[in-house]
Amino acid sequence: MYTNRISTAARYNLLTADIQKNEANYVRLTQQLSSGKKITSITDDPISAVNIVNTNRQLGQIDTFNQNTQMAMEELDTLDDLMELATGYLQQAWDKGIQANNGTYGHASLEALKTEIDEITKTMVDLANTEYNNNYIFAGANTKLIPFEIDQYGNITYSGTKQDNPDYIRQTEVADGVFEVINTTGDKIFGYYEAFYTDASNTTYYAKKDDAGNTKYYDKDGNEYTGSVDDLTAHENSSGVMGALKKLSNAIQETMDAQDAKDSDALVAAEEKMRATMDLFSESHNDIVTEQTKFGGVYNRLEMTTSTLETNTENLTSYLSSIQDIDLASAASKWMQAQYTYQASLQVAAQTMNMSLLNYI
Amino acid sequence: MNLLSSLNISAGALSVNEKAISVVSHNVSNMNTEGYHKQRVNLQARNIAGQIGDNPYNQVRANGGVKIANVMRYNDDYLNNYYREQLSQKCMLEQQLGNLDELAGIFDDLEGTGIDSALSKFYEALNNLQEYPASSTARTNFIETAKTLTGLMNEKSVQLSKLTGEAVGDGSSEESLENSKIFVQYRELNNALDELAAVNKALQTTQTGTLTANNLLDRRDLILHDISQFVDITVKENENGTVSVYTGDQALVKGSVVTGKLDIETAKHYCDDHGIIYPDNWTGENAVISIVDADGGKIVDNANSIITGGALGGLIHSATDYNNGTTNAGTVQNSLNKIASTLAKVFNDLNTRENSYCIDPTNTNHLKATNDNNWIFACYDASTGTETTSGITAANIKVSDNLLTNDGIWNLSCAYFDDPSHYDINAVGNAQNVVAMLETRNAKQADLNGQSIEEYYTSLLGKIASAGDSARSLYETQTDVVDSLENQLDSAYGVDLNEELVDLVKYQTAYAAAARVFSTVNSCLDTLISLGR
Amino acid sequence: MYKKQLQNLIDILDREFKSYSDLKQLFEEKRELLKKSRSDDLGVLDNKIIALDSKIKKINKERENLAVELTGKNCNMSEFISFAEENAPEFVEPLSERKVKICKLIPEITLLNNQNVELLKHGIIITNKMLETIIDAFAPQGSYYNGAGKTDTHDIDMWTISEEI
Repeated sequence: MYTNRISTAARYNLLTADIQKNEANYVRLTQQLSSGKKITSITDDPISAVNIVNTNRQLGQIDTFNQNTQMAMEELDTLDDLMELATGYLQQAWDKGIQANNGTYGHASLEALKTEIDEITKTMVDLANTEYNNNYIFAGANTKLIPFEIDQYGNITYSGTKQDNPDYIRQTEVADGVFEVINTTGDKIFGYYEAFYTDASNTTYYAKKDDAGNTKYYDKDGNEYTGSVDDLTAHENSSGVMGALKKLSNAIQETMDAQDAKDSDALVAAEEKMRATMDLFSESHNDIVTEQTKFGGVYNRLEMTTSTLETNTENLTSYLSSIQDIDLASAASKWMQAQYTYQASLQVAAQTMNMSLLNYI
Repeated sequence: MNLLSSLNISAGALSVNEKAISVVSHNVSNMNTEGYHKQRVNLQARNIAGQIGDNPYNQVRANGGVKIANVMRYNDDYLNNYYREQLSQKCMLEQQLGNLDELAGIFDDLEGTGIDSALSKFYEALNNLQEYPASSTARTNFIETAKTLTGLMNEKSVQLSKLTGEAVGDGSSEESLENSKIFVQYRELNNALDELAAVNKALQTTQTGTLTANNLLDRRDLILHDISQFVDITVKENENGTVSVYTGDQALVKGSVVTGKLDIETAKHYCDDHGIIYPDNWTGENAVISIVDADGGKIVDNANSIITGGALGGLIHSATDYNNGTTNAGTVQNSLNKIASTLAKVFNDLNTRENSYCIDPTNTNHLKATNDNNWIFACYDASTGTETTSGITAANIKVSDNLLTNDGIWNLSCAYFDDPSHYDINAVGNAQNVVAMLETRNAKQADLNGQSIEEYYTSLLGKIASAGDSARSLYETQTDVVDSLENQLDSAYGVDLNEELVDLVKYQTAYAAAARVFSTVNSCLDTLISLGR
Repeated sequence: MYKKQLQNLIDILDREFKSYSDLKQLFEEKRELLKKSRSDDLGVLDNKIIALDSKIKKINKERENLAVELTGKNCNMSEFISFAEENAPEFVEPLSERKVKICKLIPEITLLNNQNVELLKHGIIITNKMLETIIDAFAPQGSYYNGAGKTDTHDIDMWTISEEI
């Protein structure tokens, strides 16, 4: 076999191959040190590369969820404030109603009271029409349409998504596939009020007092009803705090009318109505508080989610760093070692090239 | 008197070209020549051609003819063949590795600029849209991320095609074939075949055992090594030193005749000749190698399946999807196309389904019903010049013109009513359709082997990465094998300077001794001279 | 009276002449070997020459002694002949013959010797030139390095021939 012969060229080739390997090692470490990253191309370490891509994606998702959660919490804050205000006004109106109910009020006081109640009603409507981020908060899914309007007949109509329509929701994603609802419908919180009359042909007419104090009836196009008042059937639809406020206002009006007319039966009936509205106030107060509590719960959950998301982010970031970033200390010492090895092989090459019979002849 | 003229030595005798020292000098001067096989005068045999019997004194007295001694050339056929095999393998792996490295370079997802991060941003914009479905900002933002995503897919597709084109041409244009790597290699191979035939011819007319013959044999072996780099060959040696070269069963060179050259053509050209529709019915490589005889007539029409080793083998098979689990530019292109078409289908279906509503551009507080042509992603049909959703690939996917007009942003269908009776024209805040779109992020797609879009892409990256990694280690191992074989060859045939120097020193010592004899003999010569006076 | 010595002289001269002829033959062989640069055989031949040389010296010595006996000093052939003319004229003839032979031999052997010297010089020059080439091509005369950097180079002695020519 030829293993005992080492030709001169072979000796060089072995040396050069070694030098090149050492140099390549040295160069790779230099690249790592200067970029701060262990992996620069996906083929360097396939498993780590895939892990890095996946981890980056997860971090992106967590970031999004975090943002969503923050925004939701801000909106819920606003919602809570509004509902707090609403209960405040409701409380005011309620107190006034109780006062009116103790039967000692005269005409003038009642008049003043009615005006106050009507003011509170308008404020409540404005409150219900609050916009947050260009959307009407209490409109359900009809976010660009103003939800509450008081028309000329004194009706408070709600044109947002009805509460029994499950598509009223606006949601935000706080975790993979986990959505939290962050809105509610206006009719649930505030209610509405509608009073109208129908005739034999079921046409709807609205009542309005003219300047002389006479009640006239108009249909929705504004045409006056020319028939007899007795043919008209009265309807009243109301709910929530708006309903309560309007009913109270109407009841006060009726009381005033009865006082003016010195009709004691009508007076008793009107006072009865006034008392009945107190129950309405109580109910609607409960409604609002229930919603507040519900959203309070949502807010707490969101807070918990935030801290979980933060922890996840920290963990993933440090995991990412461990696979991607180099450990400066160990890389630097490896680099120095590679440098020595490289230098040493260069020296050996210089020495070996002189090893030949030439030195001895 | 002129000593030299009186030396009465025939002209060639004093030239040291054809004697032992000349062999040493030949070895030394060629010690760095590639492929040089060391030569040695067979001193023990004393085989001087033309000697008269065994009497050494008779040889000495052969004053005129100094015949060339039999110069032996170190050679080992088994080692040579084994070396060529491994060299073929190494060159093939080298091409594959280069291809895979460039492929990995195209997908720079580690820096956050790849398709994966574009997909992430796309879904993030979708999330934003879900919060504010009626906001023009959110809609515009979403469309922008969709444009970035499609643009990136187009770009990666183009880079992949370029990669393939540089290796084997793009399959239809002659120009791209002529500029490709495989063209250069095939031409060099044909040149080498011609050279081999010429050397074979020279060998046929040169006597064995001579210096010229040995030099020709060196040259022949060098050419064979070169040829084996391009394609895997088997070599049969004949007595007079000529060789026949076969690839597969086909003879490329027999003696001094090139019996089979290689020819290369684009796939389109091949298909046109054989009546196959290109590219629809063509499943092979972008270039077709054929073996032709000396007159240009085809011996083997399509030799792509025979050529599997060497650089040609590595290149020709580097860009086609063979559905056998290997990863190369072809499979990656197909995977990207699947991602594009699945993405388009999923989102287009959601945007056009019944009971989903977009927004009326004339009154942005009202919903409007969607229609079947309300696409998010589409491509151009070159033949009709209009948009279509059939045949969407990563190269041609784009955001539909539908969304790119001034009022186009309102065409995104964000609202969806499960129960049609709940429909309300004012419900622009309804984002149920967007929720459904968000759910597609994790949904398993049947077209993508039961993985979600992002999972499929990540696993594609993983495949590319591990293919590149394993190709690199295979190549490094093979390089080590070839290096050690080269060392073995060298130790078998290489010139060792020390050995040559030993010979030289031997001559010097002999001369020195001979010189000393003169001084010894001089005294008795002087005596004779003085005697003769 | 000198007959016996002169006869002796002639024998010695014959023996001497034969040895020198053998030497001439060996020189011819040496010439051929130098032409072919067969170093192994060169050594063997040189040994033969040296052996022959000592033999020749012995014969030379014998002749000298005889010459001193006869004439009191070391003579050349002409002196021998004149001595013979005086004392034993019958030996003049054979002595003259031998003188002629010797004189013929001298230039031949001298020529051969000179040829061999030239050939040897030539061979040495060639060998040394080759060594020169090798040294120039082979060792790139790179620098020596140690831990602190570059150190000085040093020449490599290349003359190996002892100075006896």
